[in-house]
Amino acid sequence: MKKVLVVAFSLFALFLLVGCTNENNEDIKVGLIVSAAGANDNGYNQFAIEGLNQAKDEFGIQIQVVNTANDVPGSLETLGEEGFDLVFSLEYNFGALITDDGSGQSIAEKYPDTTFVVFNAFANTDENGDKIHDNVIEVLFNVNEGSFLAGALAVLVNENHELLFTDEDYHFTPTSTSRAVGFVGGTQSDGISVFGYGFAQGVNYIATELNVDYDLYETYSAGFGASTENYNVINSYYTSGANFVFAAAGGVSTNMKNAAAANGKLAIDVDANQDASVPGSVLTSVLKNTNVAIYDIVEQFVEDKLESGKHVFYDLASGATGITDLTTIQGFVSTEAAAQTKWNEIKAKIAELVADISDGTIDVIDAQAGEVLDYSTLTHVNKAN
Amino acid sequence: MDFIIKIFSDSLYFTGPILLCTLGGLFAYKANMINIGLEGMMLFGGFISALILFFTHSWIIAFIAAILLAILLGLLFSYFGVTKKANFIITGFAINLLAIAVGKYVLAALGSIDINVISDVTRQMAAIDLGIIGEIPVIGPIINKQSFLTYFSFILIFICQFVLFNTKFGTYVRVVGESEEAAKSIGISINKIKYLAVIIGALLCAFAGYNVAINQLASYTPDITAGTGFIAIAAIYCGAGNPKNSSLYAILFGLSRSLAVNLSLRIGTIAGLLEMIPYIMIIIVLTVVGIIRKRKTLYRGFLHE
Amino acid sequence: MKYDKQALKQSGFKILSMIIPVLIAFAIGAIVILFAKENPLKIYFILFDRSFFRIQGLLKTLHYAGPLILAGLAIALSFKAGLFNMGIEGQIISAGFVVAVLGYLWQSLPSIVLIPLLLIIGTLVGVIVAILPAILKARYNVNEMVVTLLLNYAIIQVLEYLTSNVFRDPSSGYVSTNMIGQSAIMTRLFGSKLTMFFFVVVVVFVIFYYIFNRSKLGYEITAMGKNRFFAEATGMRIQRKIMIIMLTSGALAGLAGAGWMLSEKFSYTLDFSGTPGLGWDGMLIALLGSHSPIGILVAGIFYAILKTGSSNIAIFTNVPAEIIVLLQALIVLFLSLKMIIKAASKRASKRKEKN
Repeated sequence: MKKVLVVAFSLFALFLLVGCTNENNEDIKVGLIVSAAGANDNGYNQFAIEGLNQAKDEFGIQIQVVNTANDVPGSLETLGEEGFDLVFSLEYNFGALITDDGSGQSIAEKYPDTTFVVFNAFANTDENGDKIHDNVIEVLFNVNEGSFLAGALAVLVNENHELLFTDEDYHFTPTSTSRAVGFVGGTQSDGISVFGYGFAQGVNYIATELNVDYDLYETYSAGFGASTENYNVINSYYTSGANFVFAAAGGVSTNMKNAAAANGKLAIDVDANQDASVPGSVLTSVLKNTNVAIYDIVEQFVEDKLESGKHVFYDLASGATGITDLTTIQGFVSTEAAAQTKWNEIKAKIAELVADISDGTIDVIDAQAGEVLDYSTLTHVNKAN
Repeated sequence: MDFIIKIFSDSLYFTGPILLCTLGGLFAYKANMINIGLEGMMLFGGFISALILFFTHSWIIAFIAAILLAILLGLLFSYFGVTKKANFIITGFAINLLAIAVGKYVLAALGSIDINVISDVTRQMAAIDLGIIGEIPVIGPIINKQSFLTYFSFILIFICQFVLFNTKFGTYVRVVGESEEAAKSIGISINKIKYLAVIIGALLCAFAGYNVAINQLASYTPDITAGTGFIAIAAIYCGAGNPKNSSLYAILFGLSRSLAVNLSLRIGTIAGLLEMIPYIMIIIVLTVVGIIRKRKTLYRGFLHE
Repeated sequence: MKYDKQALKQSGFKILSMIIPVLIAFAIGAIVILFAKENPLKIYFILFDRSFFRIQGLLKTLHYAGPLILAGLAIALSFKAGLFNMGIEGQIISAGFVVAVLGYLWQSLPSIVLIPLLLIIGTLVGVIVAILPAILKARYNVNEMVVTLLLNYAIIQVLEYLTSNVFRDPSSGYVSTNMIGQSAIMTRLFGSKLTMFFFVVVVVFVIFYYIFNRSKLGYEITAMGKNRFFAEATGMRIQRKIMIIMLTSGALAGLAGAGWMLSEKFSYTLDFSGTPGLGWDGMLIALLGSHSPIGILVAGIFYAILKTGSSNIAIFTNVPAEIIVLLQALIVLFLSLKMIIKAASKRASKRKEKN
């Protein structure tokens, strides 16, 4: 038995020795804890891991991806204990890190030499807006802006679907019958509302310009897993007249895309570019390119330029958020000249909106910053349920 | 009106898989082999059919694979539970755990969060157009455009009722369930009957899994079954293993799931609470049945089982 | 002397019946790990080394073992009496939820009052949740397995609703109740994860060890599990026993939930109990420990090793942490076969008798 252990241990030691590359960064240890969606979520986490791998190749740092979200505090602590210099935590789990892990101290306090990076929330900011720990960085993506664009695009396409999508596989509800869109949120939280509010605002913006009224079907309790219930809810949005549904609810997106395909309508996905996952059924995806953020932060850290305890925002201009370039869906737009002209007009309009949002002409509500959308201000959107 | 039609049409949609599991588990129940593993067997069915369809693009191969795996699981369960006389409640529980574990592990190894087979599922497969029947007012739109297996599940009620009460096999199953001594004395091979009862159950559960993963969702994740197998067990218990009665409970469950989903479209966040209706309903039904039974029989509570 | 030898043999069989399923499961797990192009020995080394052979790891394992042992005892108590009570999970999360809400609202109370109070309340919540299935079983003979299973689903839905609406921490980015106050937190000891709660568990364990092995109740429970009809015929008041067993089992579950909240989680979230959930873990532990207190103690610690180890596998290797779930499922599968060994041991004891 002892022999076996010795062999096992030496194999293990050997394994640890292999795989060091670049010059003096090799003693920099960077950890990344993925969220509950898992490392292979084709989006948020997977992009982050790609970004980290890219940084590793570039700077020769040591990396460790932790693919378990069931004990985030435990993983944070282990990485801190193992002397990691920089730890990214992609899960929404901040209590132990910021406030208290049960020892009367927070993990951030316990491991002051480790810099922790959290995402999607002002977790390290107290009621007065002051930072709590110096060694915690908050990263926020202004996905509200991308969602706004998605909402605007949905209305622009919906008003012209008869011209744009002539393929017999499409069965849009004509605007003469009803105008409706749907939003599916995984849970009632700021991290999800940020998508929903932006989307509703985007729909309202174009609907107001065109002076048409839209019904909005919404749920904020779908959870994050595919199920027959979720499929059915989304399916009923489509059958009730919605031509576009936008889901920010993890695995539910498969339900949405498949329901869109079954109904001959369109879906709007989130996080990664999922346009080609069910080709012809996804209008666009609201992007959250975590790889950009991870790479940037590692780069700053390696170059010793990382300011401690700051917020990092990624907005439309940064390229880390926004919507896709629409090339996949473009392949399904009718080749007739009139349709192509209209399509180009729509793309131009979106580009215009991007510019307006970037220079502040259009202000999109940001739920992450604690802002709340007052639905009564949406003059051309009615909540249908 | 449209809303009411939708509620009933969705009831059929939700009932299909529940019914398949219920009718499947019923034979084993009647043979005194309560199969807690219905949920896992269904999940395995959905998993293997989605996996095979994804790689072969042939629904026939996928369907055959689901059948083969079901037989294998049925054999495993009965080998443990019948031949080896293991505690079959625990074996069933293990099959449920195993179904989730294998699914999660394979997904992790494949590097994906689900197995999406939408490109291999045609609309015709998922929703059969009944043609002229679909034109009948009210009834037509309710029953039209369901999957083959959903229609099959309703036909199966009568088949099961017939098999259980009008065939030699059915009689044997009931005799084995009621008294193994009696079964032995008239020369019934008890183990063979139990094996068959369990395998039939495994097959029907695999159909339920196929129905959900391929026809209804066109994708597999480890949580697509959402307690269907356990609900089926409740339905079996409530109907005391009689195919018609148990099916009635299964349909009731389908209806309340449909109500929960459809009402949630109208009333917002409180809808979350509606999802517990089916569970509470069955508990109430069981309680009422229990009270009535107690009134009927003057046995002391525990003895009558 | 002869008798002792036989007893020794019996307990030898008992231990074997625990170890063999685990070994088979680990062997199959090793094959799976080989498919993932990793060295199974390395993986298993990491699994045990960091969670058992290092002091901090061991204390962490013991910390995790606390609620697991309670859940295991809760299951064993009812299973041993032949009651398939699957409601432990629902009782655990209900208690956790209530304690989380009160731990926030009453945080002005001093720790010395608040923590014991919350533990008691959690225990009571477990009892209250167990009342319905207990009455239904005892008075109307409604199948307890079905009722408790369904009740779990219903409880999950209600708590999800309450957590995401009524008791939601508005400042939290995800669905969660407010974090309990500092005074409600059971603080860590020796710079490890271990808290006073573990010692509470130890005390409860000793009490139940006595109940199982030395008390009349323990004897009656065993008698009920072996043959209800006989037990009733001997004049046992079965209905009352069912109530007592189900409610005590609920109390243990409630305490487990309260302790898990005050010593580990600090706020109720939808994944409070983890996957598959403490209650289900408890079932595995009870089975593994063959419903005996000492067995449950060992199994609980073993299971906690798997739990601590699973995050270490995730952190230090490239094998999917799902391997642990697979191992657990396989262990349960082969545990159900325990009867073979029991049969073998019976045969052995018969042979002894003949001699």
